[in-house]
Amino acid sequence: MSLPLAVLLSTVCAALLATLWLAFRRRSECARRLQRAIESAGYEVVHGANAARAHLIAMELEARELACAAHLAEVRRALERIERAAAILAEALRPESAASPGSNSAGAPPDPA
Amino acid sequence: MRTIDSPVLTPAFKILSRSPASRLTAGGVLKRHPLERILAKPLTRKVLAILSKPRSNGRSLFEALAENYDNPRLTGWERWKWRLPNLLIDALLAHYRLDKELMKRKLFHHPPTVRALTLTARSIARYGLSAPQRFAAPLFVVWNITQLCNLACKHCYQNAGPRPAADELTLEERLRVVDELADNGVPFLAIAGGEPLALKDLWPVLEYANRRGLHLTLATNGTLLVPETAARLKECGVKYVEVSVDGLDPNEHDAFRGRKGAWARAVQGIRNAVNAGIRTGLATCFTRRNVHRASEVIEFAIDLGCQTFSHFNFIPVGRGREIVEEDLTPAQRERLLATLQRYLAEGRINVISTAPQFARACIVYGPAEGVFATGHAGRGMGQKTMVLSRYIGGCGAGRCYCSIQPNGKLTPCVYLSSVQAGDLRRQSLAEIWESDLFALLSDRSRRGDHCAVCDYKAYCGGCRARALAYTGDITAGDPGCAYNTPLWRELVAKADEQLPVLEPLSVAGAGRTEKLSMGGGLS
Repeated sequence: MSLPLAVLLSTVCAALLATLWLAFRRRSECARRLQRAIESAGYEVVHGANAARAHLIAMELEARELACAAHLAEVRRALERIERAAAILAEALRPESAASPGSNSAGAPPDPA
Repeated sequence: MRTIDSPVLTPAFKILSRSPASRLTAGGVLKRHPLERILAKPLTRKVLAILSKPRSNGRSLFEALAENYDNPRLTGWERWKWRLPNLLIDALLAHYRLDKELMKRKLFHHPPTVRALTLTARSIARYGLSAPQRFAAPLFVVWNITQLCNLACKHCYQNAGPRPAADELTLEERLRVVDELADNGVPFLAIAGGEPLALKDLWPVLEYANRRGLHLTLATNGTLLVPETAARLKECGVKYVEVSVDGLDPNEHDAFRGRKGAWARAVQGIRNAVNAGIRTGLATCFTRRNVHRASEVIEFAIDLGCQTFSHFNFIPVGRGREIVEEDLTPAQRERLLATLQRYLAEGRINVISTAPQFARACIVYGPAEGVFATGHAGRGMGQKTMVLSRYIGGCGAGRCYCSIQPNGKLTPCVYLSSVQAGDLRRQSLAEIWESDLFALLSDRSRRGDHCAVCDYKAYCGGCRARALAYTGDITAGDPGCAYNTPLWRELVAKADEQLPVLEPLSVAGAGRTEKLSMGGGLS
């Protein structure tokens, strides 16, 4: 095998390996982002729902107009968290978002670490 | 107005083994920390056992390592002996990019922290890593040092009065108690009462406890906290003083505390402690009479220069049984916890609460990367603190905390004075600490009602004193928690199907009562 052919072949191999490595890296990065997003969203949904539940119970217990206003505010806040969680998940699951790991859009999941 | 009748408030310690309720919480998302996996390994337990085992001089290897780390007093052979461990610690600090001077000040050369870590290591070695962690000796002891008090507060769990109890410990016995605590590696001691500042023996006890390396704090009604006393407390090594103030209305405070002028003197006491340079806290016991002013009280504490606001969870025990109708409903407590969480997250003042639900409130009301409460250990940011709060675990009664009565009897909590686990006049602390009662209290799987199935049971555990006071069962669910509302309804139904409640909280001049029918509406 001539030297130029060997150089060409090794360059092509190197390029292929680099492409593969980049693709795998991007894929694992996407998977990590997705996992983080699901964790964060799960946290918000579960605890937000528990907060809402506590105040709904409280509202039922008191059943009073004025006292209910404060509980309703808490329930509203908790529901906002649940909506935020849904938005985080939606953003993370969008293909273009997953394809751009460096993006810092408003919907990007918070780092749970 | 009527009080809940006696079958509901049972002083005796009973276990009726209430069955778990159906789950109301949504199913947990448990955050983990890599350190948890390392600490749970059998090899780690063996290493911790070696590091924390007391040697012939009574001190552990870990304590010796900390004391001799970068210690300029070491000379000759001693310096060479500790050279290698010092280099290893230096390497570890460099690896984790930790500031050497800061670590020396806050950890290695801070005896209470070293003692707390040694005890934690000893506990993990003995019981394994458990959430919440069971401790081999109390991490925190509240010593109700006397029954003597110059006030007559309506809610006093101790039933304190103008005379000390006949069987109180003598000075010699009190100093022996200090030895007992220090020898067992207890790091934190809070002195309460009665009114500790009314006790002459307080000073020699404080001086001795300080010499024995205990981290000292003091809870007082503040009426005797004149500038000279504040300065002396500082000299005796008291690191934190907590003064009880019920609100902004002097008349209401004075009526509740049973003495005219008490509010003005307490507030002046806070100023004196702040001026003396002691970390100072304002403590408030919220009932239906003052809970609607919680935010104003916390703002007042900030204005006075307090570093900490301490919420005392009202429990109907002692004289508090007479005002059981003033206990918060679970709904009122839930709103209060949400308010406390917001102040904690805001960061203008540290907020602590004796309500074990506070750690749970920080999780449900705050974001994942927010501020979390770790009981009396304070607060911290992010997931690491959230994980830590699971090991600190809310109610510490008989697990990491206990109380000593004026006569030397040991109880799991100040609010559980009827549940005596032992007597320090006759038994050692180590012997009492191994009691079946404390094992029961340390086991979160032995809980009834919603506390048995709650997602937050490792963080909270429910207040055992409230459970006992209302149901007669120390393992029952905490009826003060919103998730235990079915239990609360059951108790209210027992109390003639009605419970006195106040006007809605936003109505000025709350304090009037009316009946609310509890029939139906809840499931």
